[in-house]
Amino acid sequence: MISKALVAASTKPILLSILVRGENYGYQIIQRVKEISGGTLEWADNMLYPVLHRLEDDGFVVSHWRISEGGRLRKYYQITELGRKELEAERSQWMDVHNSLCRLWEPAPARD
Amino acid sequence: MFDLEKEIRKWRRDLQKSSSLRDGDIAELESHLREEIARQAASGSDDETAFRAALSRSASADALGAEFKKSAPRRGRSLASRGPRSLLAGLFPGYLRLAMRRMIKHKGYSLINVLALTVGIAACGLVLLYVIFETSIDTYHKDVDRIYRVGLYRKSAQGEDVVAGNYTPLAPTLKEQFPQVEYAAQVLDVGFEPQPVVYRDKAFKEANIIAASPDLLRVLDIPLLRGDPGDALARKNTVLVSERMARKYFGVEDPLGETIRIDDRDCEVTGVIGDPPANTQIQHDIVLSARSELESEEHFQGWKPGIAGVMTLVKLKPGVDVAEFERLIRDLPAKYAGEDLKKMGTVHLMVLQPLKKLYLYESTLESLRPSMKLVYLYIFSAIAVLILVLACMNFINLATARSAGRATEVGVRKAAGAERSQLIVQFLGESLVVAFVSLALAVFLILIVLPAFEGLARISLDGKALLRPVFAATLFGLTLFIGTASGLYPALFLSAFRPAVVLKGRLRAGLKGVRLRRALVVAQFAISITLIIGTLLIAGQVGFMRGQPLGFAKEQRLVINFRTWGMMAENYETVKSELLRHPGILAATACSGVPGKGINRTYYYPTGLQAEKGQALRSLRADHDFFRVFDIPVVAGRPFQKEIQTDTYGALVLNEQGARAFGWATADEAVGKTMTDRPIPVVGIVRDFHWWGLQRPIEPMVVRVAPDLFRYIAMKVSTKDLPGTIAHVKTVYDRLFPGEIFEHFFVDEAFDRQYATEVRMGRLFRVFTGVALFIACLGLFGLASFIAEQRTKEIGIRKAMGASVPDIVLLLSKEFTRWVLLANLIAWPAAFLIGRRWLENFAVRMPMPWGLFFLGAGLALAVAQLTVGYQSIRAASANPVDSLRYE
Repeated sequence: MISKALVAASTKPILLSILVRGENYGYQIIQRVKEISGGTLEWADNMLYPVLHRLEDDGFVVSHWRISEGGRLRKYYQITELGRKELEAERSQWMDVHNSLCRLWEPAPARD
Repeated sequence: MFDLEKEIRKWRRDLQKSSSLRDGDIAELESHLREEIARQAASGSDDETAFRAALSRSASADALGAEFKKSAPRRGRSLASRGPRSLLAGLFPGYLRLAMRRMIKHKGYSLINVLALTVGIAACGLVLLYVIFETSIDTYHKDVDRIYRVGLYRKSAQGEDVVAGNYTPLAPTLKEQFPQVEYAAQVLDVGFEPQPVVYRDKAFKEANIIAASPDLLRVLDIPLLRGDPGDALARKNTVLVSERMARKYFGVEDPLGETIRIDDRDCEVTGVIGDPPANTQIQHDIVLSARSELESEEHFQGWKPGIAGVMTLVKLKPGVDVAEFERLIRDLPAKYAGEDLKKMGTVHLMVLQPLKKLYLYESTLESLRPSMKLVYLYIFSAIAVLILVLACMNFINLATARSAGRATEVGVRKAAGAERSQLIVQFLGESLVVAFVSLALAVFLILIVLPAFEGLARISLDGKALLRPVFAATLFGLTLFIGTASGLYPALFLSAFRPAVVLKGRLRAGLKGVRLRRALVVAQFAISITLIIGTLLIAGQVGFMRGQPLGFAKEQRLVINFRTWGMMAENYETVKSELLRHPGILAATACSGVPGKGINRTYYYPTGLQAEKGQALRSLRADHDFFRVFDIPVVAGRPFQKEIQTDTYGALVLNEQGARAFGWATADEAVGKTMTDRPIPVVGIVRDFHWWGLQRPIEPMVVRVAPDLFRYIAMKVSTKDLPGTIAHVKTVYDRLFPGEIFEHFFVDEAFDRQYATEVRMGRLFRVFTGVALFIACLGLFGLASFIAEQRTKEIGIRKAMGASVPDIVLLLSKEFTRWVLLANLIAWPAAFLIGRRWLENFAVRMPMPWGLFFLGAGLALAVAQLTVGYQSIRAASANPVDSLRYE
C-alpha cells in the first residue's frame, strides 16, 4: 500500500493526467486509477470529490452534468488550458524527482 | 420489501443535514453511489445487498461532510473573504441570489419582462395618483360626512333636473327652523369671467372669486388666519383674501383694513384665509361678503321660484338622521312658494347632496348617479388593470415558452433532492425579483413623467403624493401580487416536470403549453384592439361634435373682450364704425356674450302671466347686427333694426326653444306677444343655435338690445391678412379706450375649448392604449424570437429545399396573423358595447362607426406584423448552412 502522504501528493497530477486523455466522471476515474495502478492505488470518494472541486475552483478543470444513454446522471470533468499547463509543470517536477531517485537507485556504474 | 429509491432518499436527506454539502455536491455523490450499486447489481446482488455494499465502500455522511468542509473555505462560502458583490448577494436568501444571476444571464428575456412590468406598474401608479386626486376633491374637510349641499330638484313639462342654485332665504330658514342644522352657508359665483382686481398700482384678473355668508368658514375647514371671526363676511362690501392673494397684492404690508377694488366695487379686507388646496371645487381665493350681492339685486329677495341663484351648504349636527332630515325639508318650496309653483305647473323639491360626492356624482332626485368624471375614473382604472394583466400575461407566456430550457435544470435539481416546494419557492422568488426590480424602475419612470401627466390629466399633486401610505402600500401590494400571480403558473408548471422524463430529453421543447400561449397572445391582442377602437371612438366623437352644425358660424369670428360691462354703452356704434373702416372686417356687433362663454339668466314672463309662466332663462344682450355677424337665421318676425328706436331696450327676440318655453306652439304664434309688465313685444324668433358644446342641449334664450350690458365686440373677419386686421383692431381700441388692456380671441378657439375634457381624455386614452400595445408587442416579440429560434432547423431545411425568404416570412407571420384576427372576434363586441355605453353620455352622438373597427383591427395587425416581421426576416435570411449546423 502507498502511504497516505504520497497518495495525497500524487492525486492532482494523476487526476489531470487522466483528464488530459478525455473528459471523465468521478466513479470512472476511481476505476481507472485502480486499473492503472494494478490495485495499489485505491481512492475513496470522500477524497476524490473535494480534490476535483478544488481543481475546478482553481480553474484547471470544468464540469457539466450529462445524461448517459442509460439515463443516468453524471457530472463530467474536463481539463482546461490552464489545467494542461499545470499538468506540464507537475510533470516536470515529478520527472525531476523521478530522475533523481532513478539515478540514486541505479547500481553505481563500474569504474575501472 | 426493500425500496431502493426510498433508501437513497433517506441517505440523501442525511447528507443534506451536513451543512457544507450543496445540492450539486450531493447530486454528484448520489451519482457515484448509483454507479456502485449498478456495478454490484450487475454482479448478481439484489437491490438491498448492492445498496449496502455500495454504502460500505463509500464514506459515511459524517466523514464526507468533514472532508468537504476542509475544502469549503476555499469555495467562497465566507462572506468576508470575497468582494462586496458577494457580500451583498449574501444578504439575499439563496434563491433570490439565483434569481438575480438568472436575470443577468438571460438579458434579453429579462429585459422584456422588466420593461413590460415597469411600464405596466408605472401606468398603474399614474392612474392610482389620478384616482387618489379625483377622489380627494372636497373630501378633506374634518366633518365631511356631515356636510351637504342642498340642491333644487325641478320638474316641469320641459323636463327635470337638479341644480345647485337654490332659493335665497333657504340658508337662514334652515338655520332658524331646523335644530338638525349646525351651520348653513350661502355661496354665490361672481361672474363667469375672471374679474379685474385692483389695489393701488397692482391690477390683475382673478378667476377664483366667490361671495359667501359668514357660515362658509364654519361649514368648510377654511382657516381664518387673520382678522376677527365675528366680523368676517358679516358686513356689506367686505372681503376675505387667501394668503397667496394677500402676498400678491399687499406684499409684506398688512392687508387688514385696506381697500381693494374688485369688479369696480371697493371692498374692505377684513381677514386672511388659508389658500384653497388644488383638490377643491370651491376655489376661495377671494371671498366677498354675500350681503353685497344679495341685497343689491332685487330678484334675490324672498322665496321666488324660477330664480336659481344661491348655493346652500349645510353642516348637520352629529348623529342626525339624514334621510329623515331630507324628508323634512323636501317640501319647503311648496310651503313657501306653493302658489307660484302651482301656477307655473312646476314641482320644486329640496335634495341633500353629500359634499364628498358632489364632484364625482351627478345628483338626481332619487339618488346620485356617476358623472362623466366618475366614468373616466372607472375607465382609466380598468385600463390600468388591463395593462397590468397584459404585463403579467407576458411574463407567464415567456416563462412557459422557455420552460424547455429550464427543464434540465428542474430535472437536475429534483434528482439532486430538491423538493417541489423548494422549486416553487425558487421560481416565485425569481418572478418576485423581476417584479420588484420593475417596481424600482417604475417609481423612477413615474417621477420622470409625472409633470407631463399632471398636465394631461389636469390634476395637481404636491410632492408628497408619492410618499402617501395609500399610494406606497398599494403599489407595493400590487407588485407583490403581480410577482406572485405571474410567477405562480410557471412555478407550478415547471416544478411539475418529472426528472426521469425531462432528463432523458423526452420533453419536446415548448410543445407543452402551446395552447395556453396562443390563448394569452389572443387575449393580449383582444385587449389592445379594444383599447385602440376605444381611442378611435373618442377621437371620432370629438371630431363629430366639432363638425356638427351649431346653428351659427364660428370660424373667422374675432372678438374683443372688454374689462367689464357697459364700458361702451354710449359709444358702441362709434367703436363699430371705426373698426369697420378696415376692409378685413366684414361685420361687427356689440354684445354681452358670445357662444361658448358664460351667459346670465334673467327672469321673464308673458305679460300678465308672471306666476304661471315666469322663469329665468338665458339672457343675451346684443345689438341689431348680432344675428348677421353669426349667420343666425330669423324664422319668424324680424330681427332688431337700427332704424327703429324702440328696438333698443324695448323689444326682444327669442330662440325657438324660448318660444316653446312660454307655451307658444309655433314661432309665428309667438311674434307679437308681449313680455313682462312693461310690456316688451316679441318682434322675432331666431333658429335655435348651440350656445355651448354639444354635451349640453339648447336652452331657451331671450335676446334684447341693452347696451349697458355690452361687454364684447364680435367681428366677422376675412381670412386675408389677419395680423393686419388684428393690428387695426388694437389701434382702434387703444385710441378709444386708453389705459385699458386689449384682449381678443377667436370664437372657434374659445368654443372648442369646451371639448377640452374630451380632447384631454382622448389624449390620455391614447397614451395608455400605446402603453398597452407596447406591452403586448413586447410579449409578441419575445415569443416570436423564441419560435423563430425553435424553428431554425425547419427553416434551414425549407431553405435548402428551395423556399425563398418571402415564403419563410409568410410562414412565420401566418400564425401570428391568425391569432390577431382571432383577437378581433373578442375585441369587437367588447368595444361595441363599451363604446355605445360611452356615447350615451352625449346629447349629440355619432352613429356607430364600423370603419373604426376595421381601422383598429388593421392597426393592431400592422403593429403585430412589424413586431414579428423583424424576427421572421432575420430567421428567414439566415444561411441554412449555419442553421442546420446549429444543434
